[in-house]
Amino acid sequence: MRNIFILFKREFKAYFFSPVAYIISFLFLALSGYFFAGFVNRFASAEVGYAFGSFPILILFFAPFLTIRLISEEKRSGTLELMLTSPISPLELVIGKYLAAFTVFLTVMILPTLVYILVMGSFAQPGSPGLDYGVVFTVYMGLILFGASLLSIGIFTSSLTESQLIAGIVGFVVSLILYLIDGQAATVRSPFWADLMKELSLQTHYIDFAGGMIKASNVIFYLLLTSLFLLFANKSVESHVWK
Amino acid sequence: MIQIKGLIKDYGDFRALKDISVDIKKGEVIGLLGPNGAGKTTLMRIITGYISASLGSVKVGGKDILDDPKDVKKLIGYLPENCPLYPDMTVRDFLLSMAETKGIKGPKLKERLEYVLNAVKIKDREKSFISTLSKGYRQRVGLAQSLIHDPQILILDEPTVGLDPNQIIEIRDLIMGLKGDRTIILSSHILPEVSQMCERIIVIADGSIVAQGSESELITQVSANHKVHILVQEDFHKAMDLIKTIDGVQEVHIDRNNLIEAEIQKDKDLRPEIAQTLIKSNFKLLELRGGEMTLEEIFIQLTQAN
Repeated sequence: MRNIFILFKREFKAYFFSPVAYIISFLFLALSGYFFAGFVNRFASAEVGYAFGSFPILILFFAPFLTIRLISEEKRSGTLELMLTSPISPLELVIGKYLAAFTVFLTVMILPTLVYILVMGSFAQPGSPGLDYGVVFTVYMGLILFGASLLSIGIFTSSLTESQLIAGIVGFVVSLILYLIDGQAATVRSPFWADLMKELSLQTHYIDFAGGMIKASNVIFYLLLTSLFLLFANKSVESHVWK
Repeated sequence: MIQIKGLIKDYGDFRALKDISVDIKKGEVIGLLGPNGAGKTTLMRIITGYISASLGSVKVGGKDILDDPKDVKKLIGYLPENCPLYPDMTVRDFLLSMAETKGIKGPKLKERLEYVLNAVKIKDREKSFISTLSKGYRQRVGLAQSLIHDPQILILDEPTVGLDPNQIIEIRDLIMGLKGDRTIILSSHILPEVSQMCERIIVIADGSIVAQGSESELITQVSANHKVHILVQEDFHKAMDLIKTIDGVQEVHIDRNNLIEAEIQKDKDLRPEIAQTLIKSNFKLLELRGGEMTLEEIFIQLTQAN
């Protein structure tokens, strides 16, 4: 645990040594603010699920930038050798780094969007039902779980290569496929494969959260996916020893 | 301290290490000498647990690196080849974070930090970002991180590569100053460096140990003959023919500067006889000196034979 915390601390600080975290935060808020304002202007509605409708796809675009550097850069510069010859395990390394990315995701992307909630809450008409904070809660839960799984895909692809570019592209494409895979389900004849494609989709499992529902199956899906890719990342770092 | 048995490492079809066995005692300073690509880095990476061997075992302090990786890694301070560091961090932050990674905590953290900053003489640059440091300073930071947890074993992969002659001397003195009762393994393809610092030299070529011992032991192992250089004032070739007749002289050459080089059986010292013979025959002897093989010659002979 202590080792994980040490690695977490260093990695978290590293995000703010470089401009990466600030740029990601700025651009994500600019874009999400643009879509949010567009929705509110057109529909004058307080349905958070719809107002935040563009957020998953934005997170999908931005999450890889938080993770591409994590392991690929250590491989490229040789510092992975310093890490792996220190008394820490590859799993501690992966989890420490992952938690740092996740915390940065929460602080620079998720936390600032609470401003939108404040805006919506303060503009509610007197007598109207106003903002449904239950839905606000489920939407955030969904976004966070969704982001968590994308970050785990990102750290896994970052562990595969020395090249940040390759890590980023592969991570993004894998995420995009998992996001859109349900769209092709209708074209598949076999009901088994069609169901599987729907069940594997990052998008399918988010919809219930946006609608204000927490289903155990959706929560489990995201947690399983996250753990799976973290284990893959661990195996990938470990495998270095056997090369 | 370190027992290496039957170590073999394959990279695909390429066998980088071919059956390496070495026993390294506590407090020894070992130099791994060999041409580039001989397997020095591979061997060091296996000892430090960065990569694993295909066959064979490494025991450090009685423990197997594969069974107790964390315990073994705590014993070792390692400076990898090319000295990788985090350029975005300050020297101080980097060393503190490395110390934590190596399991140092509490008041010992600051204590060790101050110690290594002074030991490698970078106290004045502790607040600098690593990216702004010169190569010599970076090498010191690299050394500092390898020392931060006061390891019993120091493994330094080409610690002086890429430095200028002054920096090389500084780093070399630093390493010698750090010795104490530590076991040090360092690699190099620079011969004087190894012969100055190390008690035992292990010559690796093409993945095998081709010779080991102190510098003088290597010289006796390798050279069947030793050499005597003779300079006379004139009649060089006559002198050469005369020297050839002396019992025990194996071969005689003469070079462009008319310096005669006689190869003599290893166990004989024929210098007095050569001098007497030449003077009796009225040659004007200007110079006579015994020449041993240099480490360079040994290196070339050992590494090319294989």
